[in-house]
Amino acid sequence: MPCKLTPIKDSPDFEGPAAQQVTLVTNDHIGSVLIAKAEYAGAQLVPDGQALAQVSFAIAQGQNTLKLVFVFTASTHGVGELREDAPPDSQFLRSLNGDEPFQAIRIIGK
Amino acid sequence: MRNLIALLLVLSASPAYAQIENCPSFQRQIDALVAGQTSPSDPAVILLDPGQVGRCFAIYVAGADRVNRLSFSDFVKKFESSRPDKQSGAGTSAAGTTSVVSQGPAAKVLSVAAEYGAVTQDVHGQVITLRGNLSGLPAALVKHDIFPYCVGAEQTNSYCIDRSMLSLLRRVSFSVSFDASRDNQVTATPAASASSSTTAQPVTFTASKNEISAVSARVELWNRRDTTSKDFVDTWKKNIPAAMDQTGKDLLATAGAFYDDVTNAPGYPAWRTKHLALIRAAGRDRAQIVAALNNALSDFVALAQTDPKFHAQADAALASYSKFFQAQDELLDSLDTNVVAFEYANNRPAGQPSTTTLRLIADLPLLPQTKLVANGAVTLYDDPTAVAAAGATRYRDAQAALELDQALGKFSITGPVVFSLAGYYQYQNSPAVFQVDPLNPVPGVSFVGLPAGAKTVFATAGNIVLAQAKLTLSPPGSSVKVPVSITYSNRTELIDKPTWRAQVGFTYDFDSLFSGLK
Repeated sequence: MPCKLTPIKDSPDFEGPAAQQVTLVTNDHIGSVLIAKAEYAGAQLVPDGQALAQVSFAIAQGQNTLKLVFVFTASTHGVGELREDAPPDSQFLRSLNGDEPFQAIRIIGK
Repeated sequence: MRNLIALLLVLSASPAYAQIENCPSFQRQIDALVAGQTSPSDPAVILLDPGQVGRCFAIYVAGADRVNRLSFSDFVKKFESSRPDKQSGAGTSAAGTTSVVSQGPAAKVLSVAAEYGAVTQDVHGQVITLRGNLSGLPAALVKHDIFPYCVGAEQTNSYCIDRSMLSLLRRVSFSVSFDASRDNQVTATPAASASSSTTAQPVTFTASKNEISAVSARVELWNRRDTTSKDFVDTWKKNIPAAMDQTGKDLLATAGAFYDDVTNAPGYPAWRTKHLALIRAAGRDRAQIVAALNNALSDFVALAQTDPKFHAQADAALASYSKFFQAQDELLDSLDTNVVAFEYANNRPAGQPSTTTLRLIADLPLLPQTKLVANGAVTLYDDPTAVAAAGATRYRDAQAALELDQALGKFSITGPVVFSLAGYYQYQNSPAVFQVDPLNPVPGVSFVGLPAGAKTVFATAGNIVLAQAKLTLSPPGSSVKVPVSITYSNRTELIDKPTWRAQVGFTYDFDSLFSGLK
């Protein structure tokens, strides 16, 4: 299954087909990294009382921002990456570093 | 005095503010550009994206007028309005303790425990113990947004508190125990010389002022956690929501608002297009890249100045980052670790000579819900001449203790319960000595038939072996812990007969109370 998100050239943003389901996963490089909070198109993707290595959502129509907060076992020295997971495909989205625990990704749904 | 402390804190924090390339995420991208890397992401694009390097953006924006805002008077005002706290009980040798084994990890900030009972002594006490940690004050300064938490090279160009300093200070703790029962010691002395033994005498009542029963200092000599183990990661994951829910929400809200504000600013797309080209034009020349980035950020601040809440949002985001990092570190430090600690305690029991206890503590988690704690200690009389008449030497006793703690999980009414079994052995080299003072009697001990003028009494020395079972109850949703224990011993320091005893305590965790304050 191909990945749904497409990087926009010379931009940190992505675009993708509206209503298509996307799954994002964290990979660990230095220590472990989990998603503590995630918000997209007005919805919380991480239920209260949990921290997850994977979140899923449907691409919303128009321009929306996916906002994420990550936690690291290696504190500010932690390193990981955020990938779109679409087995057997997968693509790199963001490098995750403990000193920048907040990440925002603008996604344009078409 | 407070102003002096505040001044010392300002002076001990790192000075000045300048080089933006010291912000770690900017530095990484600059390094990547210099190295010619373009994959998996374009470093030039990342440098201009507040969605990926938002903290560095916020630092730059806040730094633009930081010097004006971080005045000494503001600092003092904030310092005086901030008060953090936390807690734990008295050491093994104190009257009024519920524990036979001292735990390894130290209190995080400041803790308070009230306990009633005694395990090896015959002097029961009501002891209130304040236990604090040297990291408490700087940690509170970060939590109350007085100083920011700094990462990496940021400490060289900003007033901030970094993780390594907090980790070092977190290893040192101190405690002071107050014996509340000494308030009951009231001395009555004739107001004037007695004229007759048969007439009523006016007297003056004086309460004892010496309520400090022990002071101690503890240093964690060795503190190791295996952050790669599955048990550690599972425990960490389980504790993230409770420890970081609020700081995570705050960071999402404030950093998210800052990001929205930046990216929705009029002219932002044009600004990004223009400066992306300029940074790319700098090629792999570090100086030119840094100059291009500084130019871009300077233009960006000028662009965003039109929004009156722009600086406030950067400040709010930075405060959230600091609190988030602080909570993240506290969570990691709170997880089970192997700890070896050394403790110095000076005990001043009522009616007894003061002693010093030197204790080595090993705290070894075995499983996520099980841990073993071992203690070895010696107690010395502070003034051997004061006890020489009793045949005692400076070396009073030696102790060894072992405790196994097992978490029993959550109960519907009582909440989490920890069951502990402990064994304790005390080699009594010198007898326990009491000072006989009719004006300051030893609580709970009566001396009868002593020769007139007797100043010192001592018990027959004998080794003590005891076993203890303890339940520590923590009602769900509260910061209260109630340790209740029952102890059997073959003898006490005074009485050469087996005894059964019960002890109860009450501790309150002020950290969780203050963590809710913003």
